[in-house]
Amino acid sequence: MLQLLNVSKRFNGIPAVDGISFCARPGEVTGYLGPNGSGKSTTMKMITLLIEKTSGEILFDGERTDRDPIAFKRRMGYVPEEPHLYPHLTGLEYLVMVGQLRGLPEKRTAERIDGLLRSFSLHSDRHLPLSSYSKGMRQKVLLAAALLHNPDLILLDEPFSSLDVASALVIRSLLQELAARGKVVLFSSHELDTVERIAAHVIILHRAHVVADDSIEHLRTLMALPTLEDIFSQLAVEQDTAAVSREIADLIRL
Amino acid sequence: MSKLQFRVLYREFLFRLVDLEILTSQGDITKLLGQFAALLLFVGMYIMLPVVVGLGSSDAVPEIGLLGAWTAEHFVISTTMLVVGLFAVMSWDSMFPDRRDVLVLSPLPVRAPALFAAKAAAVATGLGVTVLALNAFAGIGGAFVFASAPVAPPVQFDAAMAPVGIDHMQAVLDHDLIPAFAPNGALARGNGAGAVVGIVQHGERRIFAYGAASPDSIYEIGSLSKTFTALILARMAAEGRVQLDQPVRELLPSGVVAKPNGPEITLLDLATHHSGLPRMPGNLDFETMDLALARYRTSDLYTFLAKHGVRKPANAHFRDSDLGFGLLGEALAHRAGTSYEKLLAAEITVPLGMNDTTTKVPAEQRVRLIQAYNQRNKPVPAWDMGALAGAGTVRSTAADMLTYLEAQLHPEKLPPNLSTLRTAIVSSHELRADAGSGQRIALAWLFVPLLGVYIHDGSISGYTSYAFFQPQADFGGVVLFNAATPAGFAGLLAQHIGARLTGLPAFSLVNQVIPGKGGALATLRSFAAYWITMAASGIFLFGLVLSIQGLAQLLPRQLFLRVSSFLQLAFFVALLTVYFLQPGFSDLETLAENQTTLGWLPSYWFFGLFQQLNGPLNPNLAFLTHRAWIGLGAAICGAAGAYLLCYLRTLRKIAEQPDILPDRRLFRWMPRFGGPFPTAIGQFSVRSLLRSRQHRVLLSFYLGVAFGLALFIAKAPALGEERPDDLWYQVNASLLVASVLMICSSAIGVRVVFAMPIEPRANWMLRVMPLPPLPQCLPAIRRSLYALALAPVWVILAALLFWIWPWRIAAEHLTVLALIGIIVAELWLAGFQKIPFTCSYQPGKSKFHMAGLIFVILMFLAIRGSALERGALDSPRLFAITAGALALIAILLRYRTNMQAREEGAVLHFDDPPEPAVLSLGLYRDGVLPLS
Repeated sequence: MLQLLNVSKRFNGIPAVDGISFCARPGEVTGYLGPNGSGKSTTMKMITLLIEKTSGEILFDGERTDRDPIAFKRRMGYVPEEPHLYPHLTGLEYLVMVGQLRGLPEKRTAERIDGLLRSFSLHSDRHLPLSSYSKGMRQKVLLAAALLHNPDLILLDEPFSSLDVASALVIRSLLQELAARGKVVLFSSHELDTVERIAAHVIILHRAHVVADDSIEHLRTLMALPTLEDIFSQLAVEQDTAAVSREIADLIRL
Repeated sequence: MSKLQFRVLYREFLFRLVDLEILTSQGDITKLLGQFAALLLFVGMYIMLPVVVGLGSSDAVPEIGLLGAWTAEHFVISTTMLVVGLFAVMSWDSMFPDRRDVLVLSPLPVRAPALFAAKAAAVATGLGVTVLALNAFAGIGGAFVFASAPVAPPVQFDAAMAPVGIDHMQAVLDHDLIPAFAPNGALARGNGAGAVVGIVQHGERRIFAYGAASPDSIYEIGSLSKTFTALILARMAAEGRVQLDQPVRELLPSGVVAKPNGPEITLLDLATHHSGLPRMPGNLDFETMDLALARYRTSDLYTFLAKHGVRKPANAHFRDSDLGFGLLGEALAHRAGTSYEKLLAAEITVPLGMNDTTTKVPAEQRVRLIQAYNQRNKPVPAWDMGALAGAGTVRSTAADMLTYLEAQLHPEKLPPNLSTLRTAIVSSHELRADAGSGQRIALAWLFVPLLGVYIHDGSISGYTSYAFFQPQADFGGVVLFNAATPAGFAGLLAQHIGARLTGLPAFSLVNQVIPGKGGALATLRSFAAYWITMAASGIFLFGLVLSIQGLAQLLPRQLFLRVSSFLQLAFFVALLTVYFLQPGFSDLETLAENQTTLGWLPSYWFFGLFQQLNGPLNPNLAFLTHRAWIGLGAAICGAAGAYLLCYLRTLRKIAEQPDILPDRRLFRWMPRFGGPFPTAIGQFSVRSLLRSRQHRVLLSFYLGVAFGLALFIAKAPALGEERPDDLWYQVNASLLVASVLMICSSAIGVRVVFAMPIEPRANWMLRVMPLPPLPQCLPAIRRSLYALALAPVWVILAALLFWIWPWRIAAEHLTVLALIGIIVAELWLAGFQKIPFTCSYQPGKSKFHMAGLIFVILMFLAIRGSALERGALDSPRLFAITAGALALIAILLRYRTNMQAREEGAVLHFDDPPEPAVLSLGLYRDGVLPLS
């Protein structure tokens, strides 16, 4: 189980995340929602130890993640928001390198890479440099790299943003399948429909604070709203969207 | 609208012309331009200006002043072309609109002509700034210096006349030699210049003395001695004591040199300069040539020979070798059981009655030995040649030389008891091989088929000489002169005499070089000539690069992208190689002889152009000027065509296709570097270096400069015209320095590119990996550095050295090289706590502009170190001490690097620490050292 206890992150004194606490449990997909700038990616980076938290504790299976970072990283797979990859490597070379850096047994890893590339429909392009991959292809490479070592904790920062419909459907099912097999899956997304379909549990972040942390079902009942989009709008959207739209249209006419 | 667009685009393109990351700290545009200009000004002020003022200043001797000025002029032109070329390499991808330009600008209402005009204007500005900054100082100083430099006007001919008989020759020569007595004429040099002319025609002989010479003055005849050595060979062959095709090894004491595998150098090879031997042996101290030659013993010669061997190279061509004739003289003397001096007397001078001809002037004749003068009119002593006596140690008089020439013309007149000498002379005239420049070679004598004349010249210390004979027309002559002149007065006078004897047009004996006049007008003209030439040479080179890229654009776009990368590297390497390898000026005759080579070198074309603009143009340079104009025109047309092609054809394709060519490589093998982690780091490093153009170019800079310097140091064998100390096939300091330089530069260059990230934003992947602690990462980083920097260069050098040197010496030097490589690598690994190519850094940290200083220090250390090593290679004990000391240093440095990695808080870095907000000024109290 992944636990965040009163975690904060300040950049030059400005809070990006302010005292958030939540749990992501094995066996269920946890959705992590919030408007732009609410602190979703910062949270993900703190969990992955890419950036240091200012205060609070992050525990995985009861252990502080920063106590033995190497052991924690062995159990974690991460797909970042932006698919930044080494552009001069091919897809295959990148995955092999990830396997080597993780110290995975080579033969089994090679078989696993081959299988993942086929599953993600990248096998025929495995010898192309990553610079020539589309954004969706790069995202699939990232997913493959994150799953290569069969991690216990899977963190995905907007994994569906560039995927085509078919791939998105596959990934959606995959996350549910992985969760069903006992993995902890935490993913952030703006696609509320998708979250509603696959996540049993959502955390909604707004202005650096957690404003909702419950099952979708319970939230619907509690707020008497039919959809996750309505719940999200009520909790995290402050603007009058129609008014803002009118304002922009008027502005460009000037 | 379009003017504004042009201005905006021009500014944008100008600032993107060169790679910001390489040159400037923090990617700051202003800093970039400032640094770039400062770098060029520095080069101009500290390198070009001193050369211009130093070499170009007028010398008391016009010929030397002229060569100095020409050398300086050519240096500034070739350096300007080199710098412009380097600029072109750095801005390779910015010369045409690229993918980014097209994708960003296409959606905007920007007209293509404005885009191209801005691009061309930016390129032209970059070129102009480069040329201007580089020549800012030299261009002004050069105008004054070159305006007053000596000039070489076109060669003139004296009025033609019918063939002159020997009876009238003195009157004709007295008249023709008047210009030689004019100020700065060859015979007016100082007070001591003196020439003796000997002529024989149809059995009649005349001797004329001019200047300080007397008819019986004794001269050193230099290489003319080789004809004597060759005649000794021919006579011993005629007597059956040796055979011409006999290996020289068989004439030497047993055990001196081993029998080689394959063809051996024969006596005939030595006598026809076809042995492949270098001009001089490498174990001679060239700093003090005169003394070193006199002390050069037979044992030294044998020591050299033992190392070099007597294997004849497969394609040995004509190559003037003093060593070859020295060896021939020694071998013949050893076979005859006597000294060369006695052999010469016994075989030639005594039988022919040449009483004044010997290798050592007896005390009673010493008063007749005329003083020699060098090119600066300073008296110089006569030289002894030691064990190389057979190549040029004979002293003689004009009278004796005429006796010798008469024997050449009429061997049949020799008395019957000299029948073998008669046979030998006839044999020595038999043409054996080609000697280049349309000439053939007999035994030492060169034959000019066009004139039917045998010739040979000589030059030693300050003495110069020239002998010729024409068997059909039955005449011969010799000129002995006691002053060394760059223009070769002895040869000029001898050819003049030959022309007078035959009625052919005769070169005027007027001085070929006259002092410059200077003055305001000449200075203005020189100033204009300087800047026009520099601009033209820069435009030519830039136009050439544009044309090359334009031609490459005819290829399919994807292929062009890949080819372009290799073209960039090839151009870079070619630029440096040509710069360092191009021949210089040694004298005016060489200039004429090197026409074919110079005709291929653009820096010489523009040197010719400068001569034309600065005037007067020496006719030997006219062909260069012609090529400069053609080259400039072609480059301008090529550049214009390239832009047109890009405009019409390429622009659309850029947008349509990705920049990366789909991978079609069949060869995907990569070496392993140990366990999975070192292999991951090592293979990542190899791939990064092989596939990133920016890193390749930067590494090529280090390797290219080192390769150029290495070739420069050891260039003779590559060109086939050796300097005496440049001998590949023996252990010599030059190759030691070159190899040390290569391995050090490789280590430094790879370390520099390691520090430059390939895609910093992708580093998150490494940060989320369970990477081992730094001490366990260090071996992987070290292996990558060793594998990429040291191993390839070491393996190539090993192949070369084992091929050309004895295995023990090669192995010893390779051990030293490996240790030096490790030392340099460990020095540069200190504090490098990063995975190669990953750590983001403050741009400009490569300190590209400091590379020049690094190379100067490196050169100094390599030269000093190699001199020490050269001594150690001959002594196993000394070598063991040297290698042990180096190994100890390497171990200590490795230990230090390992300890640094174990220090508390030492971790892998993925970001360079930013510049501190508060900078320490480093002000300390006088006499107090900063301790932290």
